[in-house]
Amino acid sequence: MKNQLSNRYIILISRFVLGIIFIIASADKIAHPELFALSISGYKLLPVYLVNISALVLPWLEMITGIFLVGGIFVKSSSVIIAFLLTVFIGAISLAMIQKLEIDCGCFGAGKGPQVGWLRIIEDFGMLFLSGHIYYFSNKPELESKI
Amino acid sequence: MKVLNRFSPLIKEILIIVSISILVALLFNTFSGKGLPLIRKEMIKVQAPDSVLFSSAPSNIDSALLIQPDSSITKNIQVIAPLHEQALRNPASATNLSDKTSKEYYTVITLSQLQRLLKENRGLLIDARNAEDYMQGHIGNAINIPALEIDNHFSEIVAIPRDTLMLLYCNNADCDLAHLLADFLRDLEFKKIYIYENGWDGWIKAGMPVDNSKGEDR
Repeated sequence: MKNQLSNRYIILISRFVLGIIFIIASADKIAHPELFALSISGYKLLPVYLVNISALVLPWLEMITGIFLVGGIFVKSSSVIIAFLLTVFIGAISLAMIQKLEIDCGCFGAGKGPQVGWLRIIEDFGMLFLSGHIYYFSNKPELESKI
Repeated sequence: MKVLNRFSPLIKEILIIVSISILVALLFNTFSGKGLPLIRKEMIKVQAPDSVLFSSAPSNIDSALLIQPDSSITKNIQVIAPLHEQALRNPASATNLSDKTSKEYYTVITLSQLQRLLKENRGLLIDARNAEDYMQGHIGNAINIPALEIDNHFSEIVAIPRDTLMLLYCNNADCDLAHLLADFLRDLEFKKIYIYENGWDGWIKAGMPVDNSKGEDR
């Protein structure tokens, strides 16, 4: 099993799948920051003054880590950031579900995304698995290998 | 320390990626033309008092007969909220207003206020949810202007007289579509925008009649 997971083509597939998902997910949010800000405020987690700055930076973080995963740049650290983001998303969706908030999840594009629910959490865990896979079996951080 | 050394290239890389993202985000926000203010304004809700909603100032009265509001009160006040001119004449309400102009605020109405307005056939009821939700059921006589597709309805909206009572709703108080539409209408200088915050969920919960017709936009 470990051999299969460490197969470089399997890692390549993981990188492409996760990277492309993140690029697609971020594109609509970048195009409509005001709607994504509404999605974020719907979760009622962040103080009002942090909502806009998150709505601006988060999609670009997703976009850039996605591009890096696909392009093979800073792969290990990109996977760490993505895993962190996914953990935050899982937490946010869980809290929204506990509070029974009927909000759009804002996962794949602002405002028009599906509602928060178990399926979103399962998807995020799937992606979390991919990011873990990439982290463990990808090469060392580039900065380290250059030193 | 050893652990830290082992991870430090990784941490450096993470910092680099985060910095690039912040930089690109700020640059894009500055030059994209749809930039957001970095600090979001607080949203304030104001309950519309009956006196403002139902003060009957029939539009056919010659406006010259109405006493003009005291200019010392109304000066420097940007009237964003739908306020009757009569209400503006009350210095107290004008003072309240001036405190709020620096923040975004929305005037909300209750179910009974909405019912009364609808019964008296005042105002235009707008469902801000998407077309699919609207088709499945909406409040009778509501037209559908999905807040996420405002651009497609621009020509309909600009044709509406600006002093029309605009009554907006979406799903519930957690739903921001009505607020989004309210912002848009306010930018177009509509004067009387009210949000029925409990929205569709509140309407259903109260056992109110539902219109299931696939009513086309009128």
